[in-house]
Amino acid sequence: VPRRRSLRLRLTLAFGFSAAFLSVLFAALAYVGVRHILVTDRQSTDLRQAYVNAALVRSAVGAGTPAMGQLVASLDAATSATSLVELRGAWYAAHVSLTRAELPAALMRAAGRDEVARQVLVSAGTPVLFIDVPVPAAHAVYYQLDDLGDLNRTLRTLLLLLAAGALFTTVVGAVGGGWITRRAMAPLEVASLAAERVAGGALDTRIPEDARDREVAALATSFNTMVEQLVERLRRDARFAGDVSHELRSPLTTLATSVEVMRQSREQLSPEGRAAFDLLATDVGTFQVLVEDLLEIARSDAGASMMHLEPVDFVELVHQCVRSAQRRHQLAAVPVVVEAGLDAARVRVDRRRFERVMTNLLDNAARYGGGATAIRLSRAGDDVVVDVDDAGPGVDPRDAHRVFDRFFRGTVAHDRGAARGTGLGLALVADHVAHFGGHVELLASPEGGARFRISLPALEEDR
Amino acid sequence: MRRRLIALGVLAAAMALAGCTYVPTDAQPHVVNGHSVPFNLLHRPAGH
Repeated sequence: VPRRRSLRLRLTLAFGFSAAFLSVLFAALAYVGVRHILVTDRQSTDLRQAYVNAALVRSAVGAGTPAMGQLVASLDAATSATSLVELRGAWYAAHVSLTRAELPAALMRAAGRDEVARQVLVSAGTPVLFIDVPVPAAHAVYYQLDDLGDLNRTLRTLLLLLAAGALFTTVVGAVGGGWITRRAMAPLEVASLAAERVAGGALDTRIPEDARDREVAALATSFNTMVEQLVERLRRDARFAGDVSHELRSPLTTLATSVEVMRQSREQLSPEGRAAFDLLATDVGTFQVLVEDLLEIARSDAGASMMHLEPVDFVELVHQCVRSAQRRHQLAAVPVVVEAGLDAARVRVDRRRFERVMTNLLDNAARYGGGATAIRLSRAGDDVVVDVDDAGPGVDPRDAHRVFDRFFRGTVAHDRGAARGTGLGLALVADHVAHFGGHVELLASPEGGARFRISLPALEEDR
Repeated sequence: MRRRLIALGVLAAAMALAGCTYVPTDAQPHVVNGHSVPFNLLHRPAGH
């Protein structure tokens, strides 16, 4: 599935666009409505004025008043509009510049048909309302011109105000949408973070279920139930593996004892019988180690509650564990190199399990790496580090991240000629070190072999 | 999303165009109904 832009961004944009669309729509409707009212109002006012002026012209002509120029001037003085009168083919206007050429031809034709008409046209860059009122009784036509420039300015101001309002509404919509989205998405982020922690091994992670919103509370409850079921399932699996291993141990001990008894009579067997006995003895031994490892790993899965963590001196611990592992498993002596700055270093570990970690690493080096060449202790930031180097061919980079998987065996281990392990040794190392709060990784040793590196957090007071 | 954006842009442009002419102009004169003209202005005396 191709990844889309973040939901939060998309929701914020949707809020912004919705606000923009609605505000522009309402602004446009308001503008068109107000413009219609203003223009209509102005037209009816001008028309009423034109009727009054035309009536005055008719009265003046009827009374035989000859000074039409003076009458037109007085009409202009009384109103904001400009008047133009045609009387028996002669034209009268108060403004010298105003002539019949200014008038729209269509309007003059309407006047010729004895029709009152109005028309808005742009003249010299400004809208002008032209009105004609024919006065047939006086053989005259009254024309009125009203400059609508002021109306244009009013409408421009209105448009600017509405545009500013729409812009403001859009910004408020986007910001408000972003805020609402952030609030709405917060529980989702909490759930995602909690899921990440659970996936990282923190199985005690839960989401607070005290949310006020019903949907969020339901999400928290479902999530917590899911994690609890997961934990229960893991416990059950671990218990099952432990139980099976435990049940296998007793008959296996009997088998091993029987093999030891039979070993005393080995020389009396035929050569074929001796070979079969040797195979049996080796596999019973391997089986015993496997069951012990399975038990150990089941205990490890049962959690940190089974751990007896205590602060111990780091350098002394490593020395003791190495000596003990060598003595118990008849391994060759390995030099332990201690770098400066570790005199007072202490770590919090389970002694028995740390010894198991060192034993497994040394045993692994002996089986597949031609034996350990050196153990180096050093400090890296807040951690103390144990490096176990071997003389082997190193590990195939493709296997490097899988060697700590349970029952994983590399290409060397698959060779029947090599001493076979259980495939659980390094998995146990990784489990135990994780319980100590550290981690283990496989690197390439500068001498050419493999290097297993354990990093453990040093105790606070020693930093 | 892109189509919605384009539609919004077109709408905004149309509104901007409509707003350019603050006072609408007329292509043809509007003739006012003769009955609404007051003062009997359009009356043509007999014989004229």
